[in-house]
Amino acid sequence: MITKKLLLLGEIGVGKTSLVRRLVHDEMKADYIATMGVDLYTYRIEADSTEGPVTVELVIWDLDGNYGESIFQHIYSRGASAAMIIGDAMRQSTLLHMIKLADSFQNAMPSRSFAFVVNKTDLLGAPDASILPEPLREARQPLIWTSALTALNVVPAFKRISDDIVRREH
Amino acid sequence: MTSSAASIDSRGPDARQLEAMARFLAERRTFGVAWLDRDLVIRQTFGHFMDAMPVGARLETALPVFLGFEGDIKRLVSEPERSVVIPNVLLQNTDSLQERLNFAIFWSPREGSYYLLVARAISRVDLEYRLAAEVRARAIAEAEVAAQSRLVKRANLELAAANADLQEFASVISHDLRAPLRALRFGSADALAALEAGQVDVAREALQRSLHQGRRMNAMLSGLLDYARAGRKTDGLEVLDTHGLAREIARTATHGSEHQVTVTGDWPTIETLAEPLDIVLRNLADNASKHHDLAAGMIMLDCKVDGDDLVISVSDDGPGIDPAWHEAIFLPFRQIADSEQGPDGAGIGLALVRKTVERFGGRIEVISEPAKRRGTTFRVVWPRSLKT
Repeated sequence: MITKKLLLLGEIGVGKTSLVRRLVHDEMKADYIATMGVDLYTYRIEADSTEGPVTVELVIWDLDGNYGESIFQHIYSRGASAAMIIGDAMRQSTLLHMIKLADSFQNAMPSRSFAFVVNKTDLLGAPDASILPEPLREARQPLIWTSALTALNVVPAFKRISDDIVRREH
Repeated sequence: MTSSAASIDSRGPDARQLEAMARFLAERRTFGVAWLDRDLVIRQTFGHFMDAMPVGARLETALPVFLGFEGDIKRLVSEPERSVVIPNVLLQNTDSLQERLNFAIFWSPREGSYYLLVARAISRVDLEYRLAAEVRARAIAEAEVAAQSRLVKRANLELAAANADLQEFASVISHDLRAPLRALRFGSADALAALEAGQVDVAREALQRSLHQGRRMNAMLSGLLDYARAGRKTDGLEVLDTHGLAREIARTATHGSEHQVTVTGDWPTIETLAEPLDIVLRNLADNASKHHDLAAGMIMLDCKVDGDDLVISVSDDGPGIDPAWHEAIFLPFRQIADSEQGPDGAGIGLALVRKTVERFGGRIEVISEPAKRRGTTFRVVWPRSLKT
C-alpha cells in the first residue's frame, strides 16, 4: 500500500466537503458549513498501475476555499502528490477560477497530477460542455462531471486521480 | 530501536515531572504531547494521544497530517530555533482525535535528542473569532456584489434611456426630415420641368428653393447630432465661476442686435461640468434674443442658491409663448416643422437644453402667459452636486 496526499481545491461552496463526505461516509448533508482550516480524511482505493492493481491510501485535504491561489504558499499544500480542482456547474466564476488554480498548481508543483471536477451536475440535469469556459473545454487534463447529491462519478473521480498518481510516481 | 530512542526511554520524565507537566499542559489547553526519535518514530505520548499514537508507530502513519513533512521536520535539527506548525486541522477519520487542533513540532536537543510534538485544541473563542472574521469577509464580498449590481442596474437604466433616445431619434429622422426632403425633391422636379420648358428664371427660383432646403436639412442634421451627444460626459468636474460664465454669455448672446442682456443675483463658484451648463445657458440666452420682436429688447440672467441647487432664470420681455406650446417647444424640430424657419434656427435648441439639464439631474420649466403680459422666463434648477 502507498499513501498519497491529495488536495481538494476550489472556491467556497463548490462542494469539496460534500464530495469527500460522499466518498468516505457515503452521505450528503443538506446544511452547508464552510470548512475552516483543513479537514483531513483518509480513504483506501484500488488504483490501476502498469504492474497491476495498487492499494492507495489517499490522505485527502479538504481545504478552506478562502485561501484561493494563495494556498500554494501555505504549509497545507506541502508534500501533496495531486490536486482535485473543483468548480460549481451553476457558477461560472468558480469554473473560471478552476483555470487560475490549475495554472498556479502547475507552477507551484510541476509534474504533479491534477484533475478538473465540475460538481453539482444534478442541477444541470446532465453534463453539458457548453457551460464550460473555453480553456476548460480545451484542457488536456481529465474533466469529470460529478454530483455529491446523487453520487454521480464521485468514486470514479477519486479513482481516476489515484490511477494518475500511481502512473506518474511508480 | 535507535540510540536516541533509548536515550528518551532512559531520561523520560518521572511521575512528579509528569504531574507538573500535566498541570502545565492543561492550563494551556494542550491536547497532547508526543516525543519522537530522529527517525520520527513515536517514543512516548502524553495527554489524549494515547490511543491515536501508539509507541513504535511512525509519525506519518499515526498522524497522516504529517505526510510529506518529513524533510521539513528533519531540517529542524540544524535549525532548532524553528518549528513546523500545521494549524487548524480536524482529523475526520480518527475517533479519538475529534477536536480541531493546532500541531507544532520542535527539535529539543537538551535532555536527550528528540522531537517534541505538541497538539493544542482550538478553543471555541478562537473558532468564534475565526467565524466572525469569515462573516465579516463575506459581508464585504456581499457589499461588493451589491455595488456591482447597482452598477449593472445603472447601466441598464442608461441603456433604457439610450434606447428611448434612439427611438426618438428615429422618429425625428423619419418624420421631421421628410418635409425639407420632400421640398427638395419637388424643387428639383420643378426646376427640371422649367428647364425643359425653357423657363430659366422659374428654374433658377426652384433651384434656389432647393438650395435653401438643403441648407435647412444640413442645419437640422447638425442640430440632431448635438442633441444625440447632449449629456454625454466629456470632461471631468471643474471649479467654475458661474458669474464669469453668465457675463461671457451675456456678451455674446445678442449676435449684433441691440438687445440688452443683464446679469443679476447670486452666481457662486461651484464644482461642476462646465460644458453642459454653458450649453444650457447659451441656448436659452440665444433663443431669447433670436425670438425677440423688439429691437431694444431686454434679456435677464439671474441666479440664486436654493439648498443644494442653483435656480437660474433666463427671462426676456419678448412676445411670450402661448401655454399651448409649452411642452411642444422642448421637442426637436417642433418649431421648424410648424414654421418656415431659416437654417440658423435648427429648432433643436430647447430640446438640447432640456435633455442636458435632465441628464445631470436638474429640471427646466417655462413660465409665460402672453395673454396677460409680455415676456418669457425659463427657470433651470441645476444641482450643485451633479449626478454624472
